[in-house]
Amino acid sequence: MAPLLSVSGLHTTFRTDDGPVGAVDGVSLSVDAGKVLGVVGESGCGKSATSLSIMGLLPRTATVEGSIRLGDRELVGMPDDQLRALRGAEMAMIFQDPMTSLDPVIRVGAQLEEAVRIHRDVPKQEAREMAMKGLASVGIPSPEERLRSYPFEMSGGMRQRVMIAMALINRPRLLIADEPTTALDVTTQAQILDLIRDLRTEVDAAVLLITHDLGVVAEMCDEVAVMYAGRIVERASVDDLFARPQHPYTWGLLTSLPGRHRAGERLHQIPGTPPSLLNPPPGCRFAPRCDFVMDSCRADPAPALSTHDGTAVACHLDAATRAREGARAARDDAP
Amino acid sequence: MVRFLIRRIIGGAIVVLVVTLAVFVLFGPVLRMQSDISPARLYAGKNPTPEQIQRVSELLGLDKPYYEQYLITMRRLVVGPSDEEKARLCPGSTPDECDAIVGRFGSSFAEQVSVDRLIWDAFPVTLSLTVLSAIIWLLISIPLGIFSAMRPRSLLDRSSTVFVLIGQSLPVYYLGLLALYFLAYEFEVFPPSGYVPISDPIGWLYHLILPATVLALQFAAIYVRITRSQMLDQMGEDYVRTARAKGASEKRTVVRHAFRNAMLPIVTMFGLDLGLLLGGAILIEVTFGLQGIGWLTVQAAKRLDVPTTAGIVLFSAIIIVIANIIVDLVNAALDPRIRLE
Ligand SMILES: Nc1ncnc2c1ncn2[C@@H]1O[C@H](COP(=O)(O)OP(=O)(O)OP(=O)(O)O)[C@@H](O)[C@H]1O
Ligand SMILES: [Mg+2]
Repeated sequence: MAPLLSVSGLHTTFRTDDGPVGAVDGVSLSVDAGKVLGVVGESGCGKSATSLSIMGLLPRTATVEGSIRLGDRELVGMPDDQLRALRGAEMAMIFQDPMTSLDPVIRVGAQLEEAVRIHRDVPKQEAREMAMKGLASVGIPSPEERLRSYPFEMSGGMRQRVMIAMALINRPRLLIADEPTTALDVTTQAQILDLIRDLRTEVDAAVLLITHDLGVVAEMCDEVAVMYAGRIVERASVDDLFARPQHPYTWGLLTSLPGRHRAGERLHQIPGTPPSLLNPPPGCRFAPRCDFVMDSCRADPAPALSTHDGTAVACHLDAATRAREGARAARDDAP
Repeated sequence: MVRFLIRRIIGGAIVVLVVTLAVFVLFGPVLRMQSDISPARLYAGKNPTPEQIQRVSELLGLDKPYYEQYLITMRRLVVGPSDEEKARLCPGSTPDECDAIVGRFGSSFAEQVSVDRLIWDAFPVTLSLTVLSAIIWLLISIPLGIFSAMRPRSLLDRSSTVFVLIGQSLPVYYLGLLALYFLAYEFEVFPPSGYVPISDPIGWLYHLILPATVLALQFAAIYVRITRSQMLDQMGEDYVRTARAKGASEKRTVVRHAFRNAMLPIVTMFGLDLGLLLGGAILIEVTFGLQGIGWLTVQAAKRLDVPTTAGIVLFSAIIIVIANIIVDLVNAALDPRIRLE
């Protein structure tokens, strides 16, 4: 069966005053119905650009090339009105900051009803009913009353629940969650993640979960794509990623997990910063920060993703070194 | 909500009280000491004798101590002129005649008429000009501002920027004179001056459209700019992206979400501008010979008509205070964060 979402050769470029910024540079990934794909990487590596490309929510300054298929439909180049009919119905998105993601002057109930009525010609009463059920399904107490609340009367966690209810109200087949818990405190984070997991099973949607937190990945995802500077450098099942990480960047991420350092020891960090996407270095983009860099890494073409034992990795290192160093990075148990 | 309203009204009353005090001090003692202008001498006509001045002083109560004068002024303002005052100021007139001469704001020095009457005759002119002008400038600026924000740097956006620059840098009297010269004298499309009451709607519109448009252009420029910048701000907000993610159409996103939020500061500015204009659009009224509050202000100042000038200042202050209260109410109605907090 073909995957529900399948992205291949995605290039997203922003036109800026300083020149084109290649935020996404040849990303390919796919998610099956009922599965969760995690996308991890440092800030600015193009995670949001990827998800907004899929949703067709990029600003006018962006151009998208490549292919994005949702079911049997190609989204790249799809006319605006057709894409709009899919947004919020077939595919939905939750954003990072629940404090600002709801319209401040419209009641929560009206915002939920709007999500229904944009796509379905149902009577107001029925939309209201659905809105109430939506709130109930995300565990908001006394949903009937809450419909009349304004966003500012709710906590961040509550608002994110509302966002989730709104995203799922039309039973989308694809849910994109862009760092849905980053802005929340730890307890709320756990609740929201549980909620997404439960609802995913219930709705049987494919989930693209964007995060920079490998802990979240371990807990939530079936598969993971590791992104670095606009490219995917490693793609694997969660188990493989934590047990046999293949890419030096992934090793860096794993060893810099907060849970991995011993008391009193300094937190490990990957030295250096990601390259500018305005004019990225030739060859492997991680080369300037890589402990294992070789001459060939700095020369074009960049290493391509190649698959071994189910893991796809873009690296010139030989298999033996990767196995050895990967094992070292994974030495401590996965979180 | 009711408490909110009561608080605003009390606040407004205090502001008005302070303004009455300031007006009284400025037009009484200060005028007298700084410029040696004595209301009694002004009122007594040309080359009065000291006895005449003395008589007028007594007639107007100007011989009393200032605090007493202030209390009398305030009493008159709040409950209207007393019978004793009427009897003193218009002996031998019928009550109707006397009402036209003695009012809450006092009597004009220049004419045998109350300041109240002068203001109430002038106010419809200013009100008409303001309302018509406001309609014009909103109709121009809100759509223009929204469309400019939706397509920044487009031809429309750039043209509207030029419009804003011109509108803001051309003084209204200059634009007014140009319009008068070409549209009223050269081509005689519109009448050069005058006001027709709204009971004749066509004539009213015909006489007002030129001054109202000239006045509107200047405000439109400001409102285009603020609408555009507010819309640009709001369009970049997360909740707008959420609306799009829901599948909302561009129109729905812009009107129901972005503009709904962008209009909050615009409404505030609009209310305050209306209040200000209702106190008289001096330049426009004088340029187009409209005998509104602004025109009356100039007349009164030219003729050293102290009570009329003071009355207009006070009247304008009251209008502005009322405008402020209305703005607060409208804001509370539009923004739940204000209403419920
Ligand atoms: N509207 C835009 N115009 C120009 N450049 C942009 C725009 N949006 C994003 N970028 C650039 O694209 C790159 C990828 O940004 P993106 O938001 O996808 O990062 P991210 O991985 O989501 O990071 P974060 O973890 O901080 O959310 C960044 O270098 C960013 O500067
Ligand atoms: Mg992001």
